Amino acid sequence: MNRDPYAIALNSALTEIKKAYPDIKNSFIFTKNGTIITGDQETDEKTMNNVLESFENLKEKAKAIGNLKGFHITGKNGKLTLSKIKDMYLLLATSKNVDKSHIYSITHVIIPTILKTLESFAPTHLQSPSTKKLVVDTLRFFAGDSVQIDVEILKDWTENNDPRARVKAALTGEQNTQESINQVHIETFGGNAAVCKVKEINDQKLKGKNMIRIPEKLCKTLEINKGDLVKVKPAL
Amino acid sequence: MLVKNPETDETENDIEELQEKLQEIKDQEGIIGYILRGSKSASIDLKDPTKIIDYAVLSSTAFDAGQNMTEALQMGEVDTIIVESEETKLLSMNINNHRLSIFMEKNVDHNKLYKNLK
Repeated sequence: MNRDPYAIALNSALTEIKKAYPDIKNSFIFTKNGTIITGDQETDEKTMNNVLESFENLKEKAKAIGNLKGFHITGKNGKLTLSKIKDMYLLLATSKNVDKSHIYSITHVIIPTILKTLESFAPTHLQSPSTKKLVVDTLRFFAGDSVQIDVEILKDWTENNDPRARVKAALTGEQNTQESINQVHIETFGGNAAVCKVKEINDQKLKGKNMIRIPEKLCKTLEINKGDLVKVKPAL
Repeated sequence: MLVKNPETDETENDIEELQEKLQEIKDQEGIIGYILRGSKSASIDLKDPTKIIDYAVLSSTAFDAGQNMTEALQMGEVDTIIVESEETKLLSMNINNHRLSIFMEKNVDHNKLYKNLK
């Protein structure tokens, strides 16, 4: 879970909201790029990742009707409300008989106000966290030794999204220049890690799929296979 | 002598009744179309036929996402699913072992449709 002060502030907000509205059973916030910012204490990371995986798939297919703004499920034992708020998504799982006005207050008033307040206090913290969880695809034959990532993710990192770059800028007093990302740090869930050169994905069919294409040789070194998840961040 | 299975007859009648309702619904203002899918057959009626595949995939994905999320969050069986974009929304629900998805403009009252169909 992200320990950025911004995430901590949002975590406190979700905790307090849950106290005020006992109908809320689970809540968490993630970015439009699929990175979990924070969640309430009762919702474990595995559950959040399961929900997120389904949502990312739905978001992709929902492009047929435009950009996804909201997703609501009524189940036999509860309701789920997933709302887009600025560049983030808030998930609320509630009891079935939850007061609709409470949900409206949270999604349209409370969380947007908190985000706006945080933005005014610390604009840099509103950026997405740098580490992305990406799905591995293998690069075969003479693909070189660079990994390939979506250009959108590279742009996202370039636009000062890396907190270490922000800290570095703050410490040195230098302007946080928007240098392009040439190398990335890859870490597997098994604990293996590597730093390697990065390029944008050149295969049109594979763009926008939250994917990292890794040469087979490096996959063997990292002990990962096609379809595995890895954590990737810019190497400064 | 022909022996009728009352349960099958009831289901067939229910589906016929549902399809009649859907015919009425599709002519309402703001309705883009619907996809009704059973285990053996499907009926699709969309204003723009070029979108059939994309909408069918979205409908199926919405049901899958609904099931996965309700399982993960222990919310029980799915009753209804709403997918909203800026201009369009989708109401998905299970009726008589059929998966129904109705596509509509965002200003259409989906609760009214749901009450009419259930």
